Amino acid sequence: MASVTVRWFAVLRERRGLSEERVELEEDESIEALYHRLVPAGPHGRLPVGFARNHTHCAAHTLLAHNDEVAFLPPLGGG
Amino acid sequence: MIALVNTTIDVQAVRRSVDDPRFGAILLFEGVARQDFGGREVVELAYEAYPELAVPVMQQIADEVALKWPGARASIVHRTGQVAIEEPSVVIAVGTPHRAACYEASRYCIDELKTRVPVWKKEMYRDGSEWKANAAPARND
Repeated sequence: MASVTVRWFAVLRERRGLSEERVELEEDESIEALYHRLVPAGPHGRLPVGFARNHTHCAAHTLLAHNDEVAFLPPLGGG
Repeated sequence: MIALVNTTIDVQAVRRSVDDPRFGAILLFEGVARQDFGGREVVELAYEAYPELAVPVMQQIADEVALKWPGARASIVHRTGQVAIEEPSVVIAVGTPHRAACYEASRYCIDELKTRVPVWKKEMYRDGSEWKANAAPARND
């Protein structure tokens, strides 16, 4: 079974209670589909995020592969 | 110099990192932790980063500066962890042969950093805390 490492940051890390975790993939799962599966929409919808795969920004429809490192990036606050 | 650091930024070291006899202008920009935000007293900020992505993106912004303003060099150092009020959370030094490019390149660095570098800020209040996002395409902050 293919699995990926998910890194959680900021508000998502706090909600999840984890900095990272190992997650099994569903077949032909995109990074956005994984986000939707792991973070169910609340009454105000779902936090909009950016996506990164293996330390590179990627598109929402990017398909994931075994041992990828996945990150969901909450709205940025640097500076 | 491109770095994330979890202790007070050595501002003069960032400044020195762009020393070059070709430069006629050097600008040092400090983004500083501000006490008041929307009427609620901020006692401290806490920054978190995704280092494996943040550092390459900071480097990419510095590389873009060297392409857009030939001869220019940029250093970017950002804090992680707790940042006290009045302390810098980010320090950017830019050196260029002439001053006009220096102002433009310095502005470019901070604007691009705010929209592209995966760093998050939590405002700590006396009675709680909140993650604060940068205003969407913030070009006038």
